[in-house]
Amino acid sequence: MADLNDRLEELGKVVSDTSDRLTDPTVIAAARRRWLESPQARPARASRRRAALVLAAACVVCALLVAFVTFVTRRPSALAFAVGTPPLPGLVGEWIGASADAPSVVRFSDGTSLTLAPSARLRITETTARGAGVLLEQGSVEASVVHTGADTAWALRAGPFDVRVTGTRFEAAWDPVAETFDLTMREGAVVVRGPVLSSERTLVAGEHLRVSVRDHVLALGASQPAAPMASAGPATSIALAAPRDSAAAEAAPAPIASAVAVATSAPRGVATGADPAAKAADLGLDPGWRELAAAGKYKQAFEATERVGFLQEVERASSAEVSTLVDIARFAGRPALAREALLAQRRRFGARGRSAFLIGKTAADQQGNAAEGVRWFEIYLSEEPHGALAEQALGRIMELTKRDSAGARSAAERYVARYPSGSYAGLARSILAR
Amino acid sequence: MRHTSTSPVPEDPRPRSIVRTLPGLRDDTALVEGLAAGEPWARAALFERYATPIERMLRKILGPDQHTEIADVLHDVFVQALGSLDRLRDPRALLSWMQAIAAHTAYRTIRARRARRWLHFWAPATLPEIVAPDVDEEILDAYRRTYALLDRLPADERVAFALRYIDGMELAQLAVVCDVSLATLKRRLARAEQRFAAGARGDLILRRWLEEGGRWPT
Repeated sequence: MADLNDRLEELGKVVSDTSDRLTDPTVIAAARRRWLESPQARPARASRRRAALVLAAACVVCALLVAFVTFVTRRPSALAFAVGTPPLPGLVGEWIGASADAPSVVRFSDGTSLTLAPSARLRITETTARGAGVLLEQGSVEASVVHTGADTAWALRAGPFDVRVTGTRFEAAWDPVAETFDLTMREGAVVVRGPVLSSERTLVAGEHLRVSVRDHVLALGASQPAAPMASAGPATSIALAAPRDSAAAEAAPAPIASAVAVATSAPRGVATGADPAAKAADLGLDPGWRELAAAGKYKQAFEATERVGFLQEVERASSAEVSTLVDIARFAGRPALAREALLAQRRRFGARGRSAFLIGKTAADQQGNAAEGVRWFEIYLSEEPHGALAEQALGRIMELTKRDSAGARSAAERYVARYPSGSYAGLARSILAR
Repeated sequence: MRHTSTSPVPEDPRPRSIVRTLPGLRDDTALVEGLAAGEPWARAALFERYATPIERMLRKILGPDQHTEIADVLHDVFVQALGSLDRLRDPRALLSWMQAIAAHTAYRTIRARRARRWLHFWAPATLPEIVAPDVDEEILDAYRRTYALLDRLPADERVAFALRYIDGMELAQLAVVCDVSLATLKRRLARAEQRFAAGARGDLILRRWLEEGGRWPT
C-alpha cells in the first residue's frame, strides 16, 4: 500500500506541477472583476444556472404539454362511411354492389358521396383522415368529393387507371369486359394515369375522357352526354349521368365535333395502321383537332379548335400539341393565331430558336410585316447563331431589309463570310456591290 | 499620518505611529469583522488574500474541463463564503473555512457537471484537448488521463483524492476541509485509491506510472 501511495503521490505531484504550468492568469482577474462588480454578492452563477435549469424544465414541460394536446385534439381519425338507404356502417375492403335496377349511395363522414349506378361494384380499400381509396371493379360511379383542405387526398382506381382527386365532382366508369374507361368531369380537376395515356393527364370540369385499352385509343372531349362506346357494356357513366327517355334521347343534340378528340399513343405523324378519324368514327366519336391534324386536315382541325377555343387549347395543350396548333393555324391561314401559339410556346415551355424563326416567317410571309420579320429572324440568330435555319434567317433579313440600308449590308457581310456559296450569296454580293 | 509639531513635548525619535493599517496587512479576525460590517475594503481584501490558493485548489480538484469555468466556480466560492459568514465560528480559521467551502463548491460542480453531461452531446470518454507546447507530451498525457480517470470516481472520493495526492494536503487538514472525521476520510481515500488504481491498470500510460514510478525509459 505504501508503495502505491508513493506512486500516487509521485503521479499527483506531476499532475499538480502540470496544472500549475497550465494556469490561466485570466481566471483570477475575471473572478476578481466579477466579485468587485457585484456588491450584492449574490451567487450570480448559481442563480443563473438555476434560472437556466428552471427555464429548460419549463420548456420541456411546455413542449410535452403542447405535444400531448396536439396529439389528443388533432390526431386525425380516419373517415367513416355508410352504405345504402337506410345507411349501414361500411367496412374497409367490403364489396359494395348496387342492385340491377337502382343506384346505391356511399356517404362519407366528410360529406363526400359516391353514387353507384345500377349493377356497379366497388370497394373502399382504405380510409384516412384526408380521404379514401376507392376501387371501382365494374360499372360507373358518380363521385362528389368534398375538398376539406389542401391535403385532401382521394384516389379512385378502375382497372389499370388511377385517378387522383382533391375535391371535385365527376363520373367514372370501368367496363372490365370491354376494357373501356370513362371519366366525365363536372367540377374541379383530377389527374388520371393509366395505359394509352402517355403520361399523367389533368382533366378539368367540362371534359370527358374515354379510353379503350383494347383498341389503344383515347378520346378527349367535352363532357356532354355521349353515346356509349360500341363495345362498352351497359354500365357506363353516360347511362348514369342523365337517364333520359327515348324521346329526350332523340331530341338531344348530337355530340359536337369539338367535344371529342382522338389520339393514339403512337408518336405524332407516325402511321398507326389505321386512320385515327376512322377509329374515332368506329367509337361513335366525331374527330377532334388532334386527329384531324394528324390526318392532314388542317382546315377542319382549325374549325374543331375554334369550337373549344383555339387560344384556350393553346394554354392547356402540351408542348408538342402547341406545335400542332401552330401548324393548324398557319395552314388554316390564321397567322395571328399561329403567332400567339408560338409566343405561348416560348412563354410556357421556354421554346427558343425555331419558334422565333417561325414567328418571323409568319410575320414576313403571312402578315406582311417585314420589320417584325427581321426582328424575329435576328432573335433567332441570337438564340441559335449556328442553327440549321441560320442561313435562311440571314437570307430573309437581306430580302426584307432595304437593299441600300446598313442592316442589309451588315446581313450581307455576315452571310458572305459564313456562306460564300450559299443560296443567298448572289443577293449578298449584289448588296455589297452597291 | 498626524503631525505633532505643535506638541510642547520633545519629538519622539521613533517612527511616527501608524493610525490606519492597510487592508492587506490586517489579520483574518479584522478581515472577518470588516466583512461582517459590510466594509468594501474587506471584500476586496478577502479576495486578494485567498483567491490564489482557492483557485489553485479548485484547479487541482476539477482539472481541465471545457465545460467548467474555474473563474465561475471561484466566484461562487467567495459568494458562498460571504453569504455564510455568520457560520464561521473562529475567524482565525478563515483559510480552512474558505477551503472547506471551495471543496464543497467543487463537489457540487462535479455533480452538476455530470448531471448536465447528457446535454453536451460529447463523448464522456473523450479526453479534453490541451494545448501546452512547453509541457512534455508524456507528462501532458498522464495529466489528461489522470483527470479522465478521476471523472469516473464518485465526487466525494474525487475531491478527497485530488486534494490529497495532487494538491498535497495533509490528512488532518483534509478531514477538516472535507468536513469529515479523520477515520471517514481515510476510508474514503482508501476507496478512491482502489478505484483509481483499478482504473489505472486498464490505462497503458497510467499503469506504467503506478507500476514503475515516474517516467519510464523510452
